[in-house]
This record gives sequence, C-alpha cells and structure tokens, in this order.
Amino acid sequence: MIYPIDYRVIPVSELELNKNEVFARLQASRGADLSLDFECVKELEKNILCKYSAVRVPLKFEGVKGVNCGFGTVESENLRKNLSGCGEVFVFAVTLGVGVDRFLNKLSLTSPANHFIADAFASAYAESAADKAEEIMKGSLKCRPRFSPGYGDLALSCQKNVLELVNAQRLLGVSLNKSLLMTPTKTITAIVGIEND
Amino acid sequence: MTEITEIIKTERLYFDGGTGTVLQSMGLPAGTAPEIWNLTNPEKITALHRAYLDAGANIIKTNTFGVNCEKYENYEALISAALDCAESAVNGRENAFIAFDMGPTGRLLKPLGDLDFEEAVALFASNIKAMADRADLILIETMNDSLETKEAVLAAKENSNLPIFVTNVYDESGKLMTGASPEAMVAMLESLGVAALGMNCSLGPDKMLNLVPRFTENASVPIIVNPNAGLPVVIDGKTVFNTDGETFADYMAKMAEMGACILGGCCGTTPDYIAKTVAKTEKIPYSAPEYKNKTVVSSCTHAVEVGDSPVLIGERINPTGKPRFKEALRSGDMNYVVNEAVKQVEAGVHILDVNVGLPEIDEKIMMKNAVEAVQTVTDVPLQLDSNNPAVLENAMRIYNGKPLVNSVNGEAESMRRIFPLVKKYGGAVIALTMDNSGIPETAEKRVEIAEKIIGVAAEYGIGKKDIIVDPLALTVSSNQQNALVTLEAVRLLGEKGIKISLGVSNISFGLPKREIINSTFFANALERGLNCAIMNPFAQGMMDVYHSFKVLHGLDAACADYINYANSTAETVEKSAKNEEITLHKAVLKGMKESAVSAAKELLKGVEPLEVINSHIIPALNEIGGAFEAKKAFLPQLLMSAEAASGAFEEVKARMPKTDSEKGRGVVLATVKGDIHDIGKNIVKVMLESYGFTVYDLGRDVAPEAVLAAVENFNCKLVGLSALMTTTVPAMAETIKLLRENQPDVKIMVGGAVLNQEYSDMISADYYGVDAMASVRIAEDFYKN
Repeated sequence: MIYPIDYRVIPVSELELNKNEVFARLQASRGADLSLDFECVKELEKNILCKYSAVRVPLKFEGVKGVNCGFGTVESENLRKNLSGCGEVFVFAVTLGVGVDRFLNKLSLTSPANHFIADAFASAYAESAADKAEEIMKGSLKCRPRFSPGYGDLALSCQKNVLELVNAQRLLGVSLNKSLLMTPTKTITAIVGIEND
Repeated sequence: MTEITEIIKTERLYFDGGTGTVLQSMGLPAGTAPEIWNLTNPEKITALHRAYLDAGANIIKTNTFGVNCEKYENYEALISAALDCAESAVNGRENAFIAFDMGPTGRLLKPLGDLDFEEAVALFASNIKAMADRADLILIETMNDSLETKEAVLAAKENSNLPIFVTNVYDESGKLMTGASPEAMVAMLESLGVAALGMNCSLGPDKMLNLVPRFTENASVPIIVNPNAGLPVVIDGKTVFNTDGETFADYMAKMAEMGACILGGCCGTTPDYIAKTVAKTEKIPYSAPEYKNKTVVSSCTHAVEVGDSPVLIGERINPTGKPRFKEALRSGDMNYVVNEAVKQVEAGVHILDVNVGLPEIDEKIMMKNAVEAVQTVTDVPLQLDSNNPAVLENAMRIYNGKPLVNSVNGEAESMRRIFPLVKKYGGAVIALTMDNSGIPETAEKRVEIAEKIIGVAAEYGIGKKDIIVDPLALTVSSNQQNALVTLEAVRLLGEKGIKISLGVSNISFGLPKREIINSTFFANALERGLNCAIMNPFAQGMMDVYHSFKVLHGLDAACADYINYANSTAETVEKSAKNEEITLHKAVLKGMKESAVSAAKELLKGVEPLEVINSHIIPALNEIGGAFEAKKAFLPQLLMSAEAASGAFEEVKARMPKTDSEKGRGVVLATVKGDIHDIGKNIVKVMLESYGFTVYDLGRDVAPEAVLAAVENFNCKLVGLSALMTTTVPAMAETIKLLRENQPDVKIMVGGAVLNQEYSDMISADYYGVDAMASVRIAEDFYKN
C-alpha cells in the first residue's frame, strides 16, 4: 500500500467562512445587526498562507481502550467510539501560517479592537481551512466527524506524534511549545475515520 | 591540510545527502530518531559516511541534527559518538571534511512562540561546547527562522573558531517561514561573518533553481545548495521522495552553471544521488563568487540597499523635544513607540531610527524592548541609535537582521568600542566626521576623518561598504558657511565612492519655518550624492523633494511612485475636509478614529479640554457602553468606539495643564505569568484609556515580582490581572498573594475566559470583571471612593 503525504496549499479564496462561527467568536448573538466588513480582515486575508499535510493510514484497535492511527497507540474511549466501524483514517494538520501570528501580534500592539476582530476571524478561518482540507481528502469517501487531540479523553500529549507523522514541522512550519500548544496558533490537527465499505 | 575556507574559494565541493531515509533503509525503525544510532549502531553511521565519501562527497554532516540538551540528557555522549563515527570515516582520506551539524531547536521563538532568545543561544552553545572543535566546520542547517539562525551563529562564534556554514529553508514564495528573503539572509549572515551560505531541504531542486540567482547576485561568499529529492511520499510506512537521482543531478548541474559552489542533498537523497551529481557537474568550470560592493542593511523580512535611490530614515522615535514621548517612555508605554513606528513606515520611510535615551530610565532595557516591539509591528530595518555602546550591544544582539548602527566617530575610544560590536553582531555603521578636536570647519578635513574611520574599520575586518559617513549638517543660523561646507563634503565623499547620510533638519535649527530651509538643503544634498537622510517623513516638503528627485534622476520607473504619492496627498486633503464635518460625539459613537482625532482638534480650538472630555467624549462612550450592556451593540463596536475615544483623548491630554491631567487615575494591567493570551487584557486597556485612565501595561507572561515592582514604581493602587488558561490561574493567585503581602492597600480586579465570581473569590481578588465595560465601572468606582 502506498500512503503519500498529501501536502498542498489552499488559496484563501477557497476558504468559506461560516458566519455563525464568526458571530460567536465576536461575542455577538446570531443574526446580530453587525456589519462584518472590517478593514483589518482584508489585511488578515493577505497574511494567510494556508497549507495542509495529511496521511491516510490503516487503523488498529488495540486492547480495551487503545487505538493506533499511525502515530503510536493512544488510549481514548471517545476516539475509539468515533472510529468504530472504520478501517482507515486520515491524520492531518492544517495551518494558516506564521504570517497570521505575526499580523495578530502586530495588532496586539497597535489596535486592540482590530486585534480582537482579526483574531476572531482567523479562528473562524482555521475552522474553514480544516473543513476544506477534509473535503479535499475525503472526495467521495464516507467519513466520521474530525476528532482532534485534546477533545474528550484524547490527551493533548499525542500532538507531538501527530505532527511528526504528517511531517508538520518541515512541511508546514508547525511546532509545539512547552505547554503543547501549536505555533502558528491558527493550526488544527485532527483524525478523520474512513468508514468501511 | 589546506583550510576549507580557502578551498571553497577555488574549487567545487560536495556535501553528502540525506541521513534519515538512508538509515531507514539500513534498518532504522520508523519513528526512531537517527541520532540514537550514534551510540547503539555506530558502525552503521560510519558506513553511511563512507558510502557518501565513496560517492564523491567531500563534506560529511555529523549525525547530530536533532540533538540538543533539552531533548537528550546524554547529548554530550551522542555528539561525541557522532564525531567518532565521522572521524573514522574520513580517516586517511584526502579532501574530506567533517561538518558539525546543528538543526533548529524545534520550538518557535518569542514573541510568536515561547522560546527566549538567550535560552536558544544557550541550547546551541551546549552543542558547540560538546563538539569541542573536533570538526572542520559548523553547519547550521534547515533553519526556517532568521532570528533562530542568528542565535545559532552567535553561539558558534562565542564558543568556537571554526568556519560557519549556514543553509536555510525557503518555501514556495521564496521566503523563510518567518518571512525573510534570500537577500535579507545574505545581508545578515555575511555581516555575521559566515564562510558560506545557501539553502537546503524545502521542496526539491526544481523549486530551488529560481532562487539561485538571488544568492549569486548578492553574496560574496560561496553558495551552498542541498535540496530534497523532491516531495515526500510514504510507501509501506516509510517516507520516500519523488525525484530520482538522474533528474536530481540534472537540476544540480544547472545550479552549478548558475554559480552554486557547494552541492549536496537533503531529505531523500542517497549516495547514488550524490554520485550522479558529482558525475554531472565535475566538468562544469567552477565560478568563484565575486565580491559585491553593496551597502545593505536588513530587517527580519527584507534587505534595503543604500545605493542610487535615496534612503529615508525616519527620525521620530526619539524623545528629544517631545514631552509626550518622554512621558510614554517613563511609564513604559510601548504602544506610543510602535505607533510612531507604524505611522512613519506608512509615510514611506525605508529605515527607522530608534533612540529611547532618557536620563531617568534604564536605556539598555528600554532599547531592547523598543527594538523587539518595533520589529513586531514593522518590517523595515532599524537604525539603532544611542551614544552608549552597552545599549547598542544589547540591541544589536537581539536585532533580527543586519542593523544600521548610529554611531561611531573619529575618536579612538569611540572606534575601539563600536567596531568590535559591529564585527561580532553584524551591521553597517554611521560614521560622524568629528573627533577629539571637534567638528572640522572645512569639508576636506571632514573627509580626512571619514577616511581615517574607514581605515580603522578595515583593521577590524569591517569593509568600506559598511561605513556610511555623516559629514554633519550644522545650523546656518549660527554660521552661513555651514551648509556650503557640508554640501562640499557630501560631494567629495561621493567622488570617493563612500556612502553618505545626513541628519538633514539640523541645518535650520533656530530659524522659523524650518521646513523651507530643510527641503531646499535636502534637494541640494541629494544632487551632490547624498544616499540617506535622517528626516521627518511627516514634513511634506521633504517628501516632495524625495519623490521629485527620484523622477528627475530616472529612479522612478514610469513615475509610478510619484503618481501614487501625488494621488495619496490629494486624498489626504479630501479626507481631512470630510473628517471636519463629523462631530466628535458621532465619531466616537461610530468608532471612527481619524475623524475623532480631527474633530477633537477642531473642538479644542474653542472649548476647554475638560469640557471636551465631559461633554463630548464621555457621553458618547456612555451611549455605546449602555448599548453594549443592553446587548444592542457588540464588542467590536464598543472597542472601535473606545479606540476612537482614546485617539481624541491623546489630543485633549496634549493641551491639558498638568494639574488637570488624569494622573493619579492609574491602573496597572498584566496578563499573568505563563499566559500569552493578551486579547482580553488589551481590550480592558483600550476601554480604560478611552475613559481617561492612565494604564501601565506590563504586557503578557508577566512575573508576580514585575507586577509588584510596577505598583511600587508608579505608586498605583489598582491592578488588573488577566488569565485565559486554567493552567495559569495559579500564577494569578500567586501574584495576588505577593501583592497582598507587600502592598496591603492595593485593590485587584481579575478577568479572563476561565474566571468567574466564585473563582475570583477563591483567589481573593477584590473585583471580578465580567466584561470590558465592567473594568471601567470598577475603576470608576475605585477612584470615586
């Protein structure tokens, strides 16, 4: 079996923002009377360099709680449940790139209002980037909802192995800090179960 | 044996190729770090080196890429074993060299990540010390951050005399992950004194091809190219690459023809790739790199050449004669500094001068903080400006790029102190034509001093191209010959091929309407060959001269820059006319900052400052605040209004008698130790400022001791602390405890996503701020009592 690392750049024009997600992150109620036409968001979009890398690997259930998605065995009942009925998984990392962090950092020193707004949009963009990456990977395959390290009982400590599996440091420039948080900050890793035919 | 630094000037050498993938084919299990084998399977590591040497490589990389003292307790043993393997492989061979290999730390530097500058230098330094000069050179490779690259080079320079080679990873856009261009990296690395530089890893030789000219056109040292074997794919759980040896070697031959000097491979390449590369390139004549006589400085992203087109150096980050700036420095208000920086860059400067010297502050710390902050918000190179060499050293060390240093002069003591810093940290330096006898009265004598400085710099190994001479503009109000002498000095220096800078506005000191004299003098100096002007980019006359000079000297293709400039000036006039039609109340309510500032200015012409606050700014803020509390307006709108109000407040403050100022209504704000999420804190800050409170913003990841020190320093009895992560709430409790023990009358408000009233009570805070408006209400309440 050949499992290529699928690595590609997603143009920002292909990312579709979920308006409800944006409203939630701006702490505004759904359908609030709030224009989303912010100058800083146009700047933010110029700083997005969205890339993802993914592998498709066989899935193994081990012991009572263990599950192996190609990056070693982890114990997680929630993940096992999410993946039951699957024989393979996609493991992927997607990032908006360090340019977004640089831009947000700049705003944190120059404009708290724009910082707050741009950060909210960037988080929403990261979600839509994960959606887009998933859509490209899945094609016509029937898949489970994505599951990320830190969800439920899946320990964040597996993040290091996930990033290594998809070669995220070299391909995407993603690294972990001491608290196991990823930098660039607008980065998502996840496992997507592929259902058996 | 001849030194490798001499050999690479006359012949092509070859690096080895990939390590991990080859070791996997020799049985290294996937997921096991290659360096482990230095101790457990040394014979295989030696065999790998030998295979590369047999294939024609001259330089083998020690198997130490992923080793550092943070990852491995036994890093010294791993390094020593790696060197043993390399030594036994090269033993008895001619023209075979050992490169001590250092890869990135794998962590991202502050402010984007959590790795501290000196922590990173120390990590690299431990490796260099453990290597104990048992190699022929140090190879710093696969670096995707310019600052981390500099840290590794500094660690190498501070702990070894071996030649340093550096290769970075450029992405599809031709930049490092953190944004640096090849030109910026060449400027910084050559200035730091590396012996060879180039690129490695990345996406394969085809992608690197286009970047080669950008190195050969700018670098004076040999260029290294070590690409991957194309894109990685995983076969049966093992990573392999999609460019075969033959194709790889064809690309390498093209790059050799383009002037790449040292060739090798990275991920996925094998001894076969290197053998094919050697075979296809050994007959291609070697072209040694030529010396490039370019004066260049760089930022963390790009290089600026001091050449034919005039370079503008913004002078506004300097407290001299600016009371508001001095106040900002005393209260540690970095926002003021960064806003000055951003505005000047928007106005079109190419370099920013940074001077934060004030007698009553610690200039060393302030300069470092200012450089970090300005480099966060802008991407132009900086001119580090201080008359204290210790301040300069602190800033040059952490500066991301190749700085311009302001300044050295003809005094022996000045040169003795400044040149070693330039040699160590890299940089170009402004040389003032004065010495112990003062400033000479004639142009010829000033040129003499310039030549003396250039001569002494050469003794330190600093080239003429890195000395930019300032022949000093002195005011014509004291002596009308002054301008003529300076202009003649500019002409003479230009004739000698020396680069020239001037602090232009000094020429008119003491005269009315200085801009008229300044801009005319500027035009004259440019005509005589001035390269850089330290100037005020908000002076339209100066900018007019700059743009028209470029057009008239054929330096502005199709007059495009000029046309842009002319259009933008027209737009500004139109905009300010529009702004005047909007009332201050409306501008604040709608969150229009520019309009609020101009409306406040207009209003202040006829209305008392306090009246502007109480009858215009506060009512508008209360209106939007009320709407927010009633959920009729939302946080983005509230924040935009607060920023507009803060802008207006700045105008009011500038006109308020000191006794009326809001001093005394202060709040110390900090995001607690371990927490780097500062959005909430910044929101509170802008809200408080919009209501006229003085905020002492300590930033994020702030130690409890620093909060206490600020409370004592500023004699401020209200503190706001924020935390976003549950893991950092203990740090908040610790800060509160320390404050209670030392400053019992201090009141503390807390806020942040993970907090609630109950939690706040538990850590014995005085107030819990549920949202941005709450902090304002709390502060008002506190100061009412």
